[in-house]
Amino acid sequence: MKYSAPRNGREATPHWKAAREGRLLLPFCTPRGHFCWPPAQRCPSCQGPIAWKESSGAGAIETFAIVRRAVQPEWKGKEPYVVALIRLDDGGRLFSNVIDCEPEDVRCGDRVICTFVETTDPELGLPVFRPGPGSAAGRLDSRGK
Amino acid sequence: MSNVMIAGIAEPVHGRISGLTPMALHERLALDALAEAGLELRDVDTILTLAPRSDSYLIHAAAFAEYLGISPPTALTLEGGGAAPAIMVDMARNMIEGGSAKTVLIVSADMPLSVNTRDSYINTLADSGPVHPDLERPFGPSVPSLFAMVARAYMDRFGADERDFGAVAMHDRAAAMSHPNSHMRKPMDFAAYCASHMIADPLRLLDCSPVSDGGAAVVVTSADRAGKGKRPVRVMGAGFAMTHLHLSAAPSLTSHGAGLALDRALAFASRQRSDIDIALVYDCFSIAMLINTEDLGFASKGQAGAAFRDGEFRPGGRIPINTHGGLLSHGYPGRAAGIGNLIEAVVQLRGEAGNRQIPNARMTMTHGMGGLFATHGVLLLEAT
Repeated sequence: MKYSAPRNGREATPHWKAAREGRLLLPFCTPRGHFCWPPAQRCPSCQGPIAWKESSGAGAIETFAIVRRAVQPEWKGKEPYVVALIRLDDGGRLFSNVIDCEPEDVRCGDRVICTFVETTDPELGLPVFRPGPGSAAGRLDSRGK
Repeated sequence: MSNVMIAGIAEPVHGRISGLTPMALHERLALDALAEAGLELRDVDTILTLAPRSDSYLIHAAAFAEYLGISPPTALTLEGGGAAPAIMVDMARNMIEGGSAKTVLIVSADMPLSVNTRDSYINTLADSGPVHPDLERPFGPSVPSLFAMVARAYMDRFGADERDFGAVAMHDRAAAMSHPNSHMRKPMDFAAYCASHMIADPLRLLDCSPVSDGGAAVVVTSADRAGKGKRPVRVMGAGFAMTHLHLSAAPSLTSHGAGLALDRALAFASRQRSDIDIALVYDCFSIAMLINTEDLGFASKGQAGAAFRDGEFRPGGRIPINTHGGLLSHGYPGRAAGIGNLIEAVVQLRGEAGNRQIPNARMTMTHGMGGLFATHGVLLLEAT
């Protein structure tokens, strides 16, 4: 499945173009390092200028839900899948999916690492997350499954 | 003290409304509310509406005035999500006190069930509801899944579980069963709650509002015009708060702005929390009821579920909440969701709630919420 593309030419376009190249690029204000999301022309907290910084892509699941009844056409038939808010280690929080896992095994606080998917716009990609070291998958291994 | 009154109301039976177009439903509600107030269409100099999902116009309120055959100087359609009822009544109060209106007709109704169909309404909500079109939508969230993410964070933080969510669903259902206008009136016990299927873990079908046709009309006018019909109810004032719109930008997942809106309303009206006899809390999902009840100060953080289980919010309890069944069981009429809370407050303050009546109810708090706990409006009403 190709992800539905976000609207190109918006404030987050540098983020999506970088994702297409396999990099996680996030906006922070230069004076104080506030994470500016949704991206804007200036920092909503301190009005300072914004610069894009590359993130390591490592983080943890802050919260998640398992979608059992999809509504978007491209997601129908893909249930169950996980939507989540991810806290990144080097700052920032993203709405995304946790993939390559059993939805039932996902827990708040699980470690995840960023990977990238293509969208219906060949210029734009999106970051999604898969279990990282110490996550549910790791726990399963430790139980000998 | 405000001299602005709610002089008339009208509410249909929620559920599937057949044989009426959305405009015809608006008209019926408007005429019924005006008749209660002892006023006529020609007395209306301001119309406030919300844009129904089931009926699209450039300016819905002007299309409605055209349909009614009247030419009020002001016809406005507002966007306020579930906080809209408080916004509209407070706007009416401001206009009447400021002299720019004498009688304001508020109609908020929608027919997402019979005009849109339930499934197409739910799809529309995921595309143009509280889902960010670029930063959230591509990842496939449904609206219930966004509230489920909040529910998961709440469980993780406070150790809550399905007994807490189920207690809210059962509370609302028990109240709705004694209300003739409620959509969901079949009994529900915990086994029935647990048997309902998962929509977005941890939320089940019975944690989610039904999709209903419905809404209401409210006539707001000054005290000197309000004596011609039913016993008027005084508009004490309102308070508002917003912190974000989309879940991605929420400063907290488990505590939001309802309490701040209530504080502002109480300060405006020179009242205290202890003056509140009935609380009407916006509860589009069971998790919304838990968090909003706590944020409003009626339970400590993480304790609302236990308080619902213990009956503290039932009639006769510490503070009765959602005596009409809330959005979860009274009904969720699309864009009009939330005005049912206001109607129940008026009915209770008039002493007309029949077997639901809270004795000696003097002041009510009506809460509405837009987005993912994003915008909050609280309206205070008092009996006359």
